[in-house]
Amino acid sequence: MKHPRAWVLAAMLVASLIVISPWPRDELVVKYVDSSSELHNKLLPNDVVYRINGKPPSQVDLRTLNGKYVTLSTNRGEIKTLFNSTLVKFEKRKFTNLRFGLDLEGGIYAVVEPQGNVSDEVLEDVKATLEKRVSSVRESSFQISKFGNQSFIQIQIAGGTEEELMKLINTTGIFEGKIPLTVKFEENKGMLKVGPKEKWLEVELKNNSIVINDTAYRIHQNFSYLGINFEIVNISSDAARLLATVYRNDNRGKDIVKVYIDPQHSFLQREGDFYTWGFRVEVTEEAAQRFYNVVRNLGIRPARLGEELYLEEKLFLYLDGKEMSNLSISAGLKEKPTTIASVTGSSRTREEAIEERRFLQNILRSGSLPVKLNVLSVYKITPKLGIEFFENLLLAGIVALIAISSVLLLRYRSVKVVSLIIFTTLSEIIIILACSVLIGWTLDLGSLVGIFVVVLTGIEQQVMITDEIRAGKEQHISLRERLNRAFFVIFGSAGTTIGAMLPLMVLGFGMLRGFAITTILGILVGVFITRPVYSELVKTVLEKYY
Amino acid sequence: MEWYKKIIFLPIALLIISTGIITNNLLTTGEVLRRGVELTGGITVTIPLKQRVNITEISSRLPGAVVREIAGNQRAIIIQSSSLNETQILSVAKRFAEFNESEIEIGRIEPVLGRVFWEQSKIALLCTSVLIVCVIFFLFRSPLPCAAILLALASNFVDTLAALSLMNVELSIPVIGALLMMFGYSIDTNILLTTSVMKKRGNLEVNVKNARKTGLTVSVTSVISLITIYFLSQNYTIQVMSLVLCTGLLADIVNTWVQNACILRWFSERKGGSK
Repeated sequence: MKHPRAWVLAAMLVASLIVISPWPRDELVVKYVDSSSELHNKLLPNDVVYRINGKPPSQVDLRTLNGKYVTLSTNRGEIKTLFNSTLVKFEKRKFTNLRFGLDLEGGIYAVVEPQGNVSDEVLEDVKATLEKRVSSVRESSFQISKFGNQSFIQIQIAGGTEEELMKLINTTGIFEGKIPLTVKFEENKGMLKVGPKEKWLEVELKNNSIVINDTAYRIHQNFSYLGINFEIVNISSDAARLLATVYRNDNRGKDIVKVYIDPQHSFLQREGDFYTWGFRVEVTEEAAQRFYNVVRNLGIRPARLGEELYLEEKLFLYLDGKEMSNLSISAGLKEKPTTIASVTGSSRTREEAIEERRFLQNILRSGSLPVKLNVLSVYKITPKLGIEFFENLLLAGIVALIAISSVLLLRYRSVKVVSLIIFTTLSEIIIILACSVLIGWTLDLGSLVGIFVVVLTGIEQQVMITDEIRAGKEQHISLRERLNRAFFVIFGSAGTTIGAMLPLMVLGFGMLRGFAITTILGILVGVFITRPVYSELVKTVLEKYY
Repeated sequence: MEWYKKIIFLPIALLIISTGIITNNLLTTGEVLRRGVELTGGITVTIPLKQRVNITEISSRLPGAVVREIAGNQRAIIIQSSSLNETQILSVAKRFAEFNESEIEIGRIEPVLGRVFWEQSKIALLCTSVLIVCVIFFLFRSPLPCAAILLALASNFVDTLAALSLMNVELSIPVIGALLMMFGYSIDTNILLTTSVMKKRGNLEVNVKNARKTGLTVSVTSVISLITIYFLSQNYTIQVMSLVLCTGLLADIVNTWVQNACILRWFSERKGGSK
């Protein structure tokens, strides 16, 4: 083969183009999967749908499929599902496989810090919890970074809103279910009726306190019995009111082990001016036992014939200490412990109802944050990836290339040399872009600048190679030696630039990491692929000089 | 006196003036280059506009804020402040400009984080300097040419900072990235020059001339491309980075082909003389 390096480059170019695939394709990309959707956790954001019911997506009107069973061919295989177009969002696949960063796609970028000093495990825990809350719903990334003894978590959510983010980080996620109980006093003595009859507790009223097992408790104080936490909410001369915590999800434990999201186990309905919603959850055996111990001695609310029977007290649900909703307890639940429970709420509009239900399901599944978070930075970024942005960039690129070509033409007066330089430069850009796809790197603004700078350096170095070859006539040094000299400069400058970019790559927050990584990537492509190829090809063009 | 000994006054004058500007900044504000809100904490509001607006007018109604426009065919203004809040900024902007509120970009950074970014930037600068010194010593293994290259790089840095300060550019994360990149960028020409003086056989004068021709070609192409990108990209981050690189390159032309060339010539002549 005459020019082995050129063939290598040609092969790489073809491979790169396949990797980037800059042509339209009739496919859909998953952008959002609601946690109450049937597709939740079956399809993740960024997954690709190739066919719907065997047809290309463009020939299918998704809205007509609502409520029907559809077969989706995806990168995760065939999925058969009951379709609901309000719970999943697709987007037409972009014209390439390139992935663009948040600063171009739009979304929310934030930096949060845990309050107080936390260990690495806690930090990982916070990150995992946040990830669980978001990543199945939207494309997102979470990254822990440290500086001195401070730790941060960088959050990027594509297409998210600031409210969404704030709700996500401000919700610690401590969920409690509480049932009020009344202890009636006769001559200052009463019974706390929990558990089987032989376990009931004697309670005595004394100076505005209640005495249990020789310990006095005032209002707002807590005590524990049969594994149940009781808070005293009111004491009067004839009764005390207590609040028994039957379920609790916090960072020490999770009573709710499973959250049902399928339509059979959830509901949403209009009730007067409100929409009530709910879903089933599965609780641990211990929690079921606690619930049973509390409700087994409750009376039944009077009801008319044919009406469902409910207990006299309700179950109150709290999220982060705030009452969220309350629900009546079916009389059947006092018969035996059951691990299936309901969570309900009400909202003003249907949309709010869907959103709040989704949010709570998500919080219950992800568990609670072990610490509170401070928000140190929030950037709301509008999408820029319109045609206009690329047009501007393309225009800038083309004008720059024309300007560069003109200068080089003036200098070398050889169309061959200049076209070779421009060709090598374009190849370099294509290979760098393909590398970005392969390493799963998203192109942000910094990366674009990085590519541009690498290209300029590349042109510089090709000029140096060309000049060394052309200088041949004036000097009596072998071509090899002259090229070695050019490559000495190239390697030297590559080493320095990588040296300059490494600290940014390691430390870098946000955009500078993209800049540093793309620059280093580009330099490596240049030094090991395009520069050697150029030097080989330009030798054939400049044969007369040596 | 040789001619090159006469024009060395140019980089020296440039360095003295730049050092003066920077020292003045340091004495009056306590900083070499004023830090933007990214590094001090504050708010950045980017407003895409439907038509041109009077920047100075908005600026005069927003004391404590920096108002900038994206260069070229004006499409957006950027308002940054460490003391005002979103509502205050938008209420003033609304009076002078027409825009769609859903298109506004808002970023907030707490001072704590701004400080961390700043500390990190300083560490990055330090690490970069150390790494560059190592690479250069590894390449040339001779103290004087290395010192000359480092001096040229340092002069570039100081000259660029001074020029940026005159152009009212604040220090921000993209600016720091571009400044670090400038090191890598301007070292090419310095290595080119040094190799042509140190390692080439043949006539020194011709060697330097050839190297200069190559170096100037590449610098001119780069400067032209950067100017193109500055005016056509319509994006502030890209613009500010190309501005810094362009300034750095211009400074590099002087510092490499005049300052460093003079030093190296003097060095090689003395070396030649002592033989």
